[in-house]
Amino acid sequence: MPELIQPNKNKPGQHPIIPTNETVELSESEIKQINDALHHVPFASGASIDALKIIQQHRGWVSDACLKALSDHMKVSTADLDAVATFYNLIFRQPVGKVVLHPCDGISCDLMGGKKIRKCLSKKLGIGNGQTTADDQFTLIPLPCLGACDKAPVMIASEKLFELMDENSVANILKDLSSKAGDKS
Amino acid sequence: MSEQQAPSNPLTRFITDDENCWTLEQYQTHGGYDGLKKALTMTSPDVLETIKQSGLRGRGGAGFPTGLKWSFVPQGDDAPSPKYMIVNADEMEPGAFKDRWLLEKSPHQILEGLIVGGFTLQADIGYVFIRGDYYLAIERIEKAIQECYDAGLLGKNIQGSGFDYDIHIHTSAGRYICGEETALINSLEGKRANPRAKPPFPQVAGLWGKPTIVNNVETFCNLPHIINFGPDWFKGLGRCKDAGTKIFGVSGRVKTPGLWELPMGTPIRELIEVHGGGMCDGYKLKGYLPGGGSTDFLTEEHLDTPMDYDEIGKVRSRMGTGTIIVLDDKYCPIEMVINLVKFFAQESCGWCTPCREGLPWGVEILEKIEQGRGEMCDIEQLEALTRFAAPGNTFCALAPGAVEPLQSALNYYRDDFIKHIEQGCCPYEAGEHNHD
Amino acid sequence: MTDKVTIHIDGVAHEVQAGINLLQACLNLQIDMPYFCWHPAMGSAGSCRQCAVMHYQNAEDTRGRLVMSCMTPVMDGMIVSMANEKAVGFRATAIEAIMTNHPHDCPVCEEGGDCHLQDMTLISGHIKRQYPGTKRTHLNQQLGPFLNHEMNRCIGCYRCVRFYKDYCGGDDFNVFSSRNRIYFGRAESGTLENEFAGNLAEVCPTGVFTDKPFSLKFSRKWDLATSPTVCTNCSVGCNTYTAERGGVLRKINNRHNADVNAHFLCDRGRYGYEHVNHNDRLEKPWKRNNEQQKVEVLNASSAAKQVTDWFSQGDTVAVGSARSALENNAALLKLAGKGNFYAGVTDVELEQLNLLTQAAHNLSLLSLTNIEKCDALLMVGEDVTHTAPRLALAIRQMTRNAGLDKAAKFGIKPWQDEAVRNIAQDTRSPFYALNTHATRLADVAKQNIYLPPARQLSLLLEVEALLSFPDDKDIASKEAVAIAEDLLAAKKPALVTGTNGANPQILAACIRISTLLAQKNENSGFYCATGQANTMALGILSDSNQGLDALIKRLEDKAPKTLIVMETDLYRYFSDDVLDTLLDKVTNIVVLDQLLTRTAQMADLVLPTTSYAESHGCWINAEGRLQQSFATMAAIKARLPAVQWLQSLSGCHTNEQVLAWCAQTYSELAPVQQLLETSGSDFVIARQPLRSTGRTAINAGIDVKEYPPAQDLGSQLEFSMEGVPAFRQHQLKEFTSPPTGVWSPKWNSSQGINKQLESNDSSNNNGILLFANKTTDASSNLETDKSAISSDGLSICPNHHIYADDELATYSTSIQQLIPTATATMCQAQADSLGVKNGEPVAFKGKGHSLELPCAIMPDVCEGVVLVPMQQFRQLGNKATLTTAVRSAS
Repeated sequence: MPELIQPNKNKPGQHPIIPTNETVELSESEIKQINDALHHVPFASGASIDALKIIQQHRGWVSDACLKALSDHMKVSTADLDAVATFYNLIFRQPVGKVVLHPCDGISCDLMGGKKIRKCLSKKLGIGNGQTTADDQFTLIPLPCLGACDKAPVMIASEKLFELMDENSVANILKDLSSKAGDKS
Repeated sequence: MSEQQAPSNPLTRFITDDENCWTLEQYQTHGGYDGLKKALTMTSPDVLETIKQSGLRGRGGAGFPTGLKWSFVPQGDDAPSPKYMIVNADEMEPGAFKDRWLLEKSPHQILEGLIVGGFTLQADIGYVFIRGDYYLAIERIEKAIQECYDAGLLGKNIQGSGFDYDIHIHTSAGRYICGEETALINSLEGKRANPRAKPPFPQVAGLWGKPTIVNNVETFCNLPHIINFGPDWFKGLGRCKDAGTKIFGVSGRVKTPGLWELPMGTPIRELIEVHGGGMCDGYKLKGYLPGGGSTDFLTEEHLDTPMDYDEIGKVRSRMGTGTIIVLDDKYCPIEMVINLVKFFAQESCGWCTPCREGLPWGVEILEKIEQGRGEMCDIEQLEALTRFAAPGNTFCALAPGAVEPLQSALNYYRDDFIKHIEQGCCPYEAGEHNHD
Repeated sequence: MTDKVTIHIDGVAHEVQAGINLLQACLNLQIDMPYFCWHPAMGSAGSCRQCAVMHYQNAEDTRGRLVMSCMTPVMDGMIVSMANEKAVGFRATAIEAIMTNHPHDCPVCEEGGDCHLQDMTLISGHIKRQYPGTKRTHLNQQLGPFLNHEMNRCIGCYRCVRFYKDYCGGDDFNVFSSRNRIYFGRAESGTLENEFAGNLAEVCPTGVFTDKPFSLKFSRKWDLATSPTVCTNCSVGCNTYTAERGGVLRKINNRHNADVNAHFLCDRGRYGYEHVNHNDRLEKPWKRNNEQQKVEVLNASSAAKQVTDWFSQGDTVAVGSARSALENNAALLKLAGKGNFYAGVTDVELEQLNLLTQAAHNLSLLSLTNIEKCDALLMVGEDVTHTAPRLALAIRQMTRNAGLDKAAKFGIKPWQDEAVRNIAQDTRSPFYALNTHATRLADVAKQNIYLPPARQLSLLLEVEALLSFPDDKDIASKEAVAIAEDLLAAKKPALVTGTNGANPQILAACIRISTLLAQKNENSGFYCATGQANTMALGILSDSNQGLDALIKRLEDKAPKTLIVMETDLYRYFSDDVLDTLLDKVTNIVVLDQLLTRTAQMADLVLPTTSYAESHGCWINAEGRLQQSFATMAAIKARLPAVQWLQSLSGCHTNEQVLAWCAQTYSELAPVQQLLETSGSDFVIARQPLRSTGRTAINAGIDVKEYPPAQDLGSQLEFSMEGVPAFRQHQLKEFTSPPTGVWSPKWNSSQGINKQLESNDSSNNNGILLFANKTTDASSNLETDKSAISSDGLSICPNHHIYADDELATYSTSIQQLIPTATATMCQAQADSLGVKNGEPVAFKGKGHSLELPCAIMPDVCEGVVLVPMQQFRQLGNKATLTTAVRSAS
């Protein structure tokens, strides 16, 4: 079955031979947010998902070095954290571009031509699913049903929902997102 | 408490065109939190009894009677503590989009339901487990929770009732299986979202081993109104045996796809043809999934079936989330099944064999057929796989749900399968267009 | 004893044990029910769906419902069908689905022939592959010296992660990703840290995790000759299968003994066998010829005659061995006489052994299985993970009991593993670890108390006082009160300690506490890990004050004419400075050993002995359990068991004769008589499995000639496939020795044992308990020396390590890789007060020896303690002092 590649999917097997020796330090605001999350749970491991999302919110993705830093801070082993990180779709264990495009590949969007939209995105950016453009602007990760089936086809990017997309609107949306990504960097 | 006309659209009457209809102020002007205030004047067992009498059934898909489910939670002084109450807002069923609407437009209604629920079972902590991609909904729920604390609707001694209750929000890291209540609990515990073995049921040992209730967004939304207007009013809302209203939706090639709050038992034809505006010009109805991606296909002949749990069951499908996905005559049904089974294979947690290995196997065969490489024996193999992943054979309901569209497609669209195999290609325009 | 219920399987009524699951019941009934995710020690998971059966509500129900037998408790009157068409079909599809991604690489897979997946695939009837797709592939990881990793073979049964993480508490292994991409391994390549990781080779139903050292000398299971042996790497006495081919020891597998190790071994036990194959093995008798400055090779008879000649000159002193069988030690003792026999352990250890053996009859010494059943436990003075590893795994399970009880209140059975864990969360039975530093069980302890030995002792005295006067809480510390309360409140409290802390005062206190507990609660128990595999035998045989320190004194006072040292390397206990000059004073040094040790190099006559793998012998474990180990292969070269080298002097020519002498001479060893009476049936037993083809080709790689198999005169076992094969042995009552392997019809993998668990539970082969009978013997002086609690100086304490401490295990290259660098370990505060920094040398002096170790700063070491590795500690003795100029950190 053709792989629906997402950045976290093949992680554990991907770089098995060379462990990273990089280290990073968590920022003060990351630590503050993580400690808040730890506050709500009876065991540190309970805050694993929240903490991983906090790291990602700050850094775009969760590197091996971040995982180690988080492990040291939370006293939860890297294996336990990574077991969780690699399970969930929205935690990225590989670097992503400034904007992650999540076109919907749910059935309601596909019935309305969603496949064409994804193909169009892919063609315009020159990348396949799970890949990032050379300029690190965009990463393409289709997501299942985004819950806006009456406005199909749809896409989420930069925390915004784009509705009723067609092949003509793709270019404008990318242009718009691209300039925003430029602002961010 | 404002005395007001008992509404026929209790859930959506708060939803207006006003940009700020989600705020506490707007919610309260329409009678928001009246249900809670009334509940706080009652005893917890009385509230539970009212919910039981209303005949409310879970709106997440399985349709289990809510009051009955809740009655298993141990009560009394020696009951374990804390107790948890969780709103399952991790909507991810293909073709389901009703929860997002409620979350974005009426977050306070959900919170009110969650607080009423908490009071009913004397729970200590409520959680909103919300899909991580629902950014606007997350923002509004967060603001709504803050508004509640500011207004004394959450926290210590709510409205002077002596009832203490907190609500936290958990944004999901994305996994369809989190919609399964025990998988959701594992996810809240910071674990991989594998479903849990039952027994013990979450009502007695759920989150952190404590009594826990998980219900769908829409289920919670109904609670304040049931308390406010009474169980008899609620029962009277339905057009059939099932009580209350339901948010129904239609997506696919219809003229006006959307969501509507309508009485339980509204016929499918009315939903597709009246509310959905009928098929788009140039398209004919080929079939539809009545309750989201994990329900069996129904066809034209079932259009007059009322949307209620039992009636849909009688025609061998499920009411599911009540959001209909319409298949038109230009889209290849096999292509549609591939999309669905692939989704479920992708979202399998990887715990049990029929789901983890069986679904990808099914996708493999379906793609072989769609690409014109199919053989007649593949149909038998697909049928065997649907039996393999049948209810009861798997650890949770994911794989049985996944094979529902497949098994019904093999039934209703068998000719299409045979045509693919005989012609050695996909006879549909869209299908052809879609693979390369 | 246990309740029974009647269940109907395919129309046949069976009586089975109540409370268990249907899968276990079927296996007990010898029904070939296929399964993957279930494991007898880890319970049910319900993930593989391979054990499905049809369950009928009642006799009228013709439709039935498919259930997973592992998840279904047996109930009286239950009606199920395994043969039902739907159930058979479902199981066939399940195995086919499981196999969709399996590489079918059996010919090159080391599991082949010993593979649960192969067995189950055949049992489930999957022959033809119909899956049309490509298979998923994974990259593998380097997991250290013990295990290979081949993830493509994975069938996703989750057993590995449930064992490593849930059962052993390891946190560097997990399951990653999801759906059909699940991956079992570490977050990144690296050595698996858990001491029980090697079990994955047996836990994994297929070849994902395989035995790495075995890979280097791989042989198919059907080409291996196997015998039941007892692990000689520590005092727990785990039961093992040792397998050989062509005179090379190939691998060690677990041998199920319901009272000791049950299903699991530690990695020291599993991999610590390479001394048997080592280049340093002695082959022939050597005699030193000082005049000609050369070594003469003697034949066996002239070597034996040489010993006799020297012995007849009188003035002979003998040293027994803690790593040699009871028979060898007894024979040596018999010939030398008690006064001239020195145990091959330190005086301090011998003093502790004597305390233990004298008190043992009045304490209930617990088996590991019983430890697992305890509900409160105090571990004192050492980290048993490093000194008696399998015991630590039992203690880890013991902490789960409170959670199991909690789950039981919800009607959840212990085997409903996931449900138990979800209910239990962090509910644990109270376990206290009292030690100088953090133990590997710290994560499951209610409280970890780190104190110097003197303060450990005073805490124990407080606990002792509280046990007698529970109300005197105000005079005791918080810790003591908590410990005493939990011990008193428990239904089955236990105290676990060891002799490896080299502190007789602490042991005496532990014995007193246990005696008090036993008076209050007859279900309480005690376990004292001893030093080596047969230290307990030395404790029983030798007189007190006849340890190695006493030997040194004797050598100093007046060197004997002849010194016979058996399987003890004196240089492990004393430094070169001390020993070289002393040994020079002895005229004739005879060393009997397997390996060319430092002591053997000093010998005038070296007699090569057999390893445990080439000899029969009895081993007495820490709980006084006497167990027989059977030779796996015939001795080659000129090697002989010590009993036979010494036969003309001892007058005992066989093991039986030695044992008979033991039984008569030592009251503790009287039960040995049982062994002598039960042996002897007409059957012979095969060590090799029954092979239908290639019967004689086994040595074809060495020689085309077919040699007769070696003769085993010491047991009923044959070094060939002649005799009753393993899978028949457990069915026949005539056999008094344990089966030579695990085979069961259709079950080629060692998981066939799971069909024999019920009979194993009640087996007579679980060893003889020497201290089972209570006596009223007055016990020795257990009074605490008050000066021991008042010492407030710096304590130099041993730092045990699972891979560094056992002499023979360190000959294994796999184990050598995991031996840490020797350091003087202390906490930051201690280092500050000594004025040393991390890595700076710290100097020690003791027993006429001085040495330097680099300082290593570790958290969780108490102040007032400096830890040195066991090997260095032994050479310094327990009166060692620090000679580093103490620069006070002002």
